[in-house]
Formats: sequence, C-alpha cells, structure tokens
Amino acid sequence: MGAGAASEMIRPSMRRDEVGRESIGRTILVVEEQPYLWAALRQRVDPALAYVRSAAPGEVARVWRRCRPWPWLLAGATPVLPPELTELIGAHPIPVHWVGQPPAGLPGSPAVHRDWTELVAALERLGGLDLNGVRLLRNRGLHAPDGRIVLDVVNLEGLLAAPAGLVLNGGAGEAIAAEIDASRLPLRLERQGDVLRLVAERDQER
Amino acid sequence: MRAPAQALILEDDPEQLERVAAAMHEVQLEPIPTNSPDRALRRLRYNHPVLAVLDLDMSMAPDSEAGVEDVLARLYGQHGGCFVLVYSVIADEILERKRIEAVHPFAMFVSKHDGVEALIDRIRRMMGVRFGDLHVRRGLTMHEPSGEVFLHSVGVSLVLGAALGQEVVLQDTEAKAARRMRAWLERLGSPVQLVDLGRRCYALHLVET
Repeated sequence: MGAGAASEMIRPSMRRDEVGRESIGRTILVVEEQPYLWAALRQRVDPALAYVRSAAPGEVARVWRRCRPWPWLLAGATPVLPPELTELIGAHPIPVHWVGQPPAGLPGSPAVHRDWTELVAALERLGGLDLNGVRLLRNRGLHAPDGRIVLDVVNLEGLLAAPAGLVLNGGAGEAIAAEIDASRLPLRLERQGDVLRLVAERDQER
Repeated sequence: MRAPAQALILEDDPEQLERVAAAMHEVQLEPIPTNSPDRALRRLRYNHPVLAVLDLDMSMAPDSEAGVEDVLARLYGQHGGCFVLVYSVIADEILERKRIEAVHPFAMFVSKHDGVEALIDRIRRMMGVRFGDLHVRRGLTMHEPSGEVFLHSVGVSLVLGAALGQEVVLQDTEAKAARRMRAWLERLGSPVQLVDLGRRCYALHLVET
C-alpha cells in the first residue's frame, strides 16, 4: 500500500466546529470511591490505546462531559451505582468492566473481574484487537485493512472493544451500521437477541 | 527559519531552577525560566514551548495571583504541542495526581524525592526519542537516513507525541508548520505520515506496507 492510500481518510461524522482540546480521543473512565484503580490503570494502559480518567461517583457526570463524545470504555469498582450513570451510558456502545460485584441496575452485561489485575489483562488484550484486518489506530480512529485511516467512528470503536458484543437498544445499531457503510470497512453487524456484535464481512458480501 | 524548541520551567527555588535550566540547555532546548505562576502565564502569551516542567509547591515564589493549576489549565487548553512534567515532592501521591489529572489529563510526573538527576534523565530521554526514521536530536527533528533536519519546533512536538502515544493540538501558525513538515516527509520518502485528525489535532503515523 502506498502513502496515497494511507492518506485517504474517512470521517463519516466529522464536526469541524468541535473544540479541539476537549476531544482527546479514546478514554477509559474509571468510577471508584478512591482513585487506586485509576492509578494502576494509568500506569499500565498505553495512552495510545486510551487515556485513563478518574471519577468518584459524585463526579461522574462532570468528568463524563470531558470525554467527548463519550468514554470509549467504562471501568468501575463501586458497590453502588452512581446515580447518573445509567442515563449517561444510554444507548451508546460502551463496554463496561467491573472489578468485584457490579452494582444492581448497571445496564448491559458488564465484564466482571475478580481483581484489578484481571481488568488490566482484559484491557491489554484490546491493544491487539484485529477483526478482519480492522485495528484500532493510536488514540482514536481505526486502521482499515487496505491501509486507510478511518476517523470519527466512535460507535464502531466502542463495539469493537466488546468482542462478545453489547446489549444495545435505541438507535445504536443504525449508527453503527451507518459508520460501517460510510467507512467501507469489511465488517458486519450481527444481532443475537438484544446483543449486537461486529463480525467479519464475508468476501461474497463485499 | 529555525524556531528554537523552548521549555518552560516554573520553579520557585532558584537553585533548582538553575539546574533544570542547565539541563534544558544540555538538550538544546531554550529554557524559559519562571519563578511564579503569573510570570509563567505571561511567558505563555508569546512563547510556545514543547516541554514544561512545573513545580507544584510555590511557597518560595513571589506574590502571584495565579496558581500552578492556572498554568496547567493554560497549557492544556492552549498549548497542545507542549508536554508537561510535574516535578514535585508530592508527585507520588495518588490524590494529588488525580487533582492534576483533572486539570491536565496528559501531565506526567517526576518525584522530587528521586532527585533532580531523575528529572534531567527524563528530559534527556524525551529529547532523544525516535519515531520511524525520525529522531529528536539537539532540539530538532532529524530524518536519520538523509540527515536532513526540520527546523520548526512543531516537529519536536509531533515526534514526542508519537513516541509518548499522545496527540498534538496545534495553533494556527503551528498548523502551517505542520503542513510544511508533511511536505518535508513526503519529499524525503519517509514512512512517517502526518495525519490531520481534525479539530486542530495532528499525529504522526507509520505508513504500513
């Protein structure tokens, strides 16, 4: 592949008027009473995969707003569900990981980890994600198998981080399908019950 | 025209300020020494450092309306090509790190307990990073195969960002220099590609073959 192909970029939902500094790329938002899990993740998660940000339960809404458009992934360790969390997650494709017993009412089907080392291992695996040649680009966006850099596909990036899929309702499926179409990535959306996941598009479908 | 890469230093202890400034000279960065947040903010109106070293404790500083947090906020909001090292005796405290992270999510920490040599070593390593066939050397960006040098400091920011896994947000004048760097990379046939991520964000990526 030559530089010309690589320089072709796709931005299905580009918004030039958004404030630059507030859009810092993929973020992992860690919700916990004391920032110990955050400190451990910040030391171990490559910032090229995602920036790790911290929020105490009472800070969730404020910090969430600084993870535009929304956190790529949510990690938590609180026994009680922060009040605004369900509403903030909404229909966004955000994988949720929890250390210890997740609180009642946590939406979706969170990945539960016995301790933080399990969570770190799960996050490290995300760095090597590769679905039909589609991989995470550093900080934000995706690498297409043909060498293109594909930007502004936040829904796809979120669902890609949940290989087993996510329980998604509302318009998330349509948004993801639109991003697949616009970006011409060799992926397909598969629904099993209320779980949506990304799978490789078979050759004959292309 | 060369725009020398600069480094802001905010340190209230004159002895330490001098040592850190000497370290900056050693790696060919032009130090901007300041001993109070007000003075640091004034310098940031006109200067665009690629590196900032900030002490959190300003107890020996002259009177200053602004605090270190204001300097951090300014660096975060308006100096997206500047990499921040917080150099402090409390840099190891998790709650302190979280407080700083809330203001500047990309700030990196060096503890004063590790001594000024640890800071100097960190600065040296940062100012000698490589990405692809590019090498930051003597405060400039060098294309190793050809030996050609890109003179604008924005090159240093971009290579540092790539090496540290951080995006770089550039102001308009810097963005022009970044576009010149893109042409420079293309002319040299470098596998490093400058990608405009939109919203004034830029990053270097390696073209995959």
